[in-house]
Amino acid sequence: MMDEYKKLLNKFSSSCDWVSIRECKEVTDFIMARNSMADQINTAESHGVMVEVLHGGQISYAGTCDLTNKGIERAFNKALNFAIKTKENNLCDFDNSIRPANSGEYQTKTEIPFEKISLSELQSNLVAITKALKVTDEIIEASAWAMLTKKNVNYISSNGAKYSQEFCIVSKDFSATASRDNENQTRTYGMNGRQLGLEGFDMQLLLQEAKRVGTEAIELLDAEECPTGSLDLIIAPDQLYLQVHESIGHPLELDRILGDERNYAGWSFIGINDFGTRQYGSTLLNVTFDPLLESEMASYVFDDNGVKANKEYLIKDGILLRGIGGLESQFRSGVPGVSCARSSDWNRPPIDRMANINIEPGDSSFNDMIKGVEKGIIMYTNRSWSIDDYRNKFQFGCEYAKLIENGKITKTVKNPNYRGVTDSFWMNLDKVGDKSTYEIWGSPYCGKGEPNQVIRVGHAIPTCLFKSIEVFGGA
Amino acid sequence: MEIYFKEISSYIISKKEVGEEVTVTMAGEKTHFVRFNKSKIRQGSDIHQLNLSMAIQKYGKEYSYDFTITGISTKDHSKVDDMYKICRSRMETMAKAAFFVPFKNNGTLSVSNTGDLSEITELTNILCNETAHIDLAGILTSGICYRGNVNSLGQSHWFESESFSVDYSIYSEKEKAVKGFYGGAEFDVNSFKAILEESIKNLHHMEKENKVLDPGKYRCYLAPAAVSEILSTFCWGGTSQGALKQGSSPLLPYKNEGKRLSKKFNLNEDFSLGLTGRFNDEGEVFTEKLPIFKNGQLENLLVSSRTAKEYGLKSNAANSNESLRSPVIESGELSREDILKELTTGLYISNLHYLNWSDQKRGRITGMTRFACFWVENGEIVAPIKDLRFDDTLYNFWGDNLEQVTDFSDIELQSSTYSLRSLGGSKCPGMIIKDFNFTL
Repeated sequence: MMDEYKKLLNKFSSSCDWVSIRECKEVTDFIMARNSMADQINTAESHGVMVEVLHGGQISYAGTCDLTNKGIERAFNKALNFAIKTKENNLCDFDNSIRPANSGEYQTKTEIPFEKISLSELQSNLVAITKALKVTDEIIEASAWAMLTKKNVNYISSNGAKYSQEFCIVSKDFSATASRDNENQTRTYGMNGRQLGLEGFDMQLLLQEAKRVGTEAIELLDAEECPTGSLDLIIAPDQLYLQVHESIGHPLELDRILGDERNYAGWSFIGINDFGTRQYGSTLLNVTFDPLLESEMASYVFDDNGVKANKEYLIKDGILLRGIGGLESQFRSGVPGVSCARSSDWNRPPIDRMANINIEPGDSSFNDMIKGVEKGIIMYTNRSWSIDDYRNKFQFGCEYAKLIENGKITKTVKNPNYRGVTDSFWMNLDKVGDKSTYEIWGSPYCGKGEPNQVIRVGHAIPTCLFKSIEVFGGA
Repeated sequence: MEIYFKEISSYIISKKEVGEEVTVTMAGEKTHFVRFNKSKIRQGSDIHQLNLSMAIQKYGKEYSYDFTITGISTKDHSKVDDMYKICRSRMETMAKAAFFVPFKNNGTLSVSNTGDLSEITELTNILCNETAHIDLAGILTSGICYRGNVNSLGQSHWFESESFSVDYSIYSEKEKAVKGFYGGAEFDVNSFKAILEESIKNLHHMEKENKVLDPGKYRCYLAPAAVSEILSTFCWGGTSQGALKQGSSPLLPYKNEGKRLSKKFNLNEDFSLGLTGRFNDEGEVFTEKLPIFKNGQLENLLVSSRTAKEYGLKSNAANSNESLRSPVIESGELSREDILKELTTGLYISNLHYLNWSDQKRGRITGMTRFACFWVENGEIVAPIKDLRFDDTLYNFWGDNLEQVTDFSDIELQSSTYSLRSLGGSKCPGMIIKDFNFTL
């Protein structure tokens, strides 16, 4: 197809300043099991082309599912027509420097390709997981699902950019709901996605985990309510990744800071002048943008503007250094950014998105963290999240927690929640876990943009300890 | 497009084999999106997409394959042939569906809402010119949406709607903001200017210094848009029979502990709004209007055919996640003129943001105030407020603490555009609520 696209670009490029074609094809198998029985299986395939035109400083887009040459030419003419007729009202006068001419290829490293196992076999495995979840009859609902996604992107532009990327993504979760009298508690594995083959579906490990999840759901039925007060809080990676996502990732997006998202996702408490000077958190806080970390959900070598991916420190020793902004946002703001212009599919333009946003491991072991806490709590696995449109006032709920008293873990508590304000929260970071506490998490569901786009993000995170956080229990 | 859908679905049905039944659904659009920042164009995109789904049933097994089609017969027929091969091969080894609901003929329904949409570049330039003196961010959406559903037993539904919307917010130099929306089937520049003028007037009210309030319980007026946000969150599991059976419903305290809502709370699924088709993915047709809560009493939950099969209940043609598609909260008696007087002292909340269940099984919701929210004293607006976080249960704010419901309602069109434009919307009144719980 690239040869065909090249011929089309040759034809188009004489009537505009720059043009590209981005073809995306994504196939996702969704498999589910519930209560020891096979449930739904379905497959969703999306395939189309986005034509992007830069003309007279204005970028405009036309996406089409008509993949014939005529269909793509029609899309090109629509995009060009829009760029010409609305030129006077362009927000920013862009030039070719925002579209580099890079070339190359990327493919997820896999040990076991998806094709090695049929969907029916996978579904049998999920049925087995739901059986393992039901540790007693008090488990009234046990479910498990998996998504296998293969996505291919081909990109070519009139100034010589040409790349292909193939992503293989395994996402999965399972859940047990326990019920006794009027008490109902749900424990999950925690939705996780990685770029892997089917080696990411290790049944021996998953069956062990399913038993743990079912057992902990039952344990919560007898647990005391989470206490209310200011406590030291240890957050496990399966919750902390979402804290990083909401209170570091989103506020550092340059398009938010520039106001593009004000009507939908929101603005940011960070300003353009904060980069290079602002103390974002304690000196233990080191946050990187790293699309090159193997197997993490949002790894790639080119973003959707053709910019080569590199690992960069966003925050180093607590100081804010760099924004999450692609070349367009860097052009507009003058702030250093990263290769993060990403689109959810062929039918959406690229915007500034997180890819893999990670906390670098520190030097505290899990036991060191526990020993240093006189009165505190450890929280596991997100169940609720909310934050304001400037990314300041947040509240998170978790599924499961343990109390720490005088340096020892004492008992399980239910309905744990915490709330705070981003600025003071990260300043209270007191210990960062070492490599032994470090886990890779990823979510397929980060929403942003007008028109709306949902995209995959990765977060590799150690366990961390925060001092004096407001925690509370259920209704 | 209806003609093409009939042609491609006829082809699919003609290729089915002995023992197979097939349902074909289509969701498509031709839409222009123009994104604005500072009243200028940030991004413009024109999207043409047609998504087809083939659900095949055979001897108690079911499998569905969704795929993009081109709109060109020869190419799409070839694609369908390939899809059949994949589906049949996979279904051979597949287990029987646990709760198999055979397709049936649910009749025929066809709705076509046509509009008179202006050329997109013309509309875009009008918007930029009319808002050049202010700072506006938002999105203009304009075009046609299609939904089709046909099966091999003779069922045939079609819904199409041509519309535009301007979903915007405007900003002062002090970063104060007011939200606005204008939508319909035909753009009228004078109507848009009138709505914009109202937004600008409201923005002037925001110019005073913010009043910073401590967390605590406050008397509040929630405007229709704020009520609509709460309703959207409630729809996430709150109306689902399956969720109640599976132990995740916010109505568990209603069922198990006798918790009740206010007699002033009346909620219906009401398709007379005409914003979306009454048929679901299986082609089952929902009744025009179904009461969910009447005078605070639960009348009906939504039951999909899948849930009905599993728990031995009767389906009411709900969609698979048993959420409301066209919810209406009935209006009450409080007039627009009396809102501030009846509120007396408290918070006037225009919009809420980023709501989520904070404890779904207990019916507790958290979220933030957003855009034009004010502190009111003795029936007079005093100052805008600094954003606050609420965290409260529906058994409080729609229960004992619901004092008054307005005699007017606003329609909130579904403006979600994940993957493609959503259809539907809700209609909500405003509410005065005492002791609304703010925590941060």
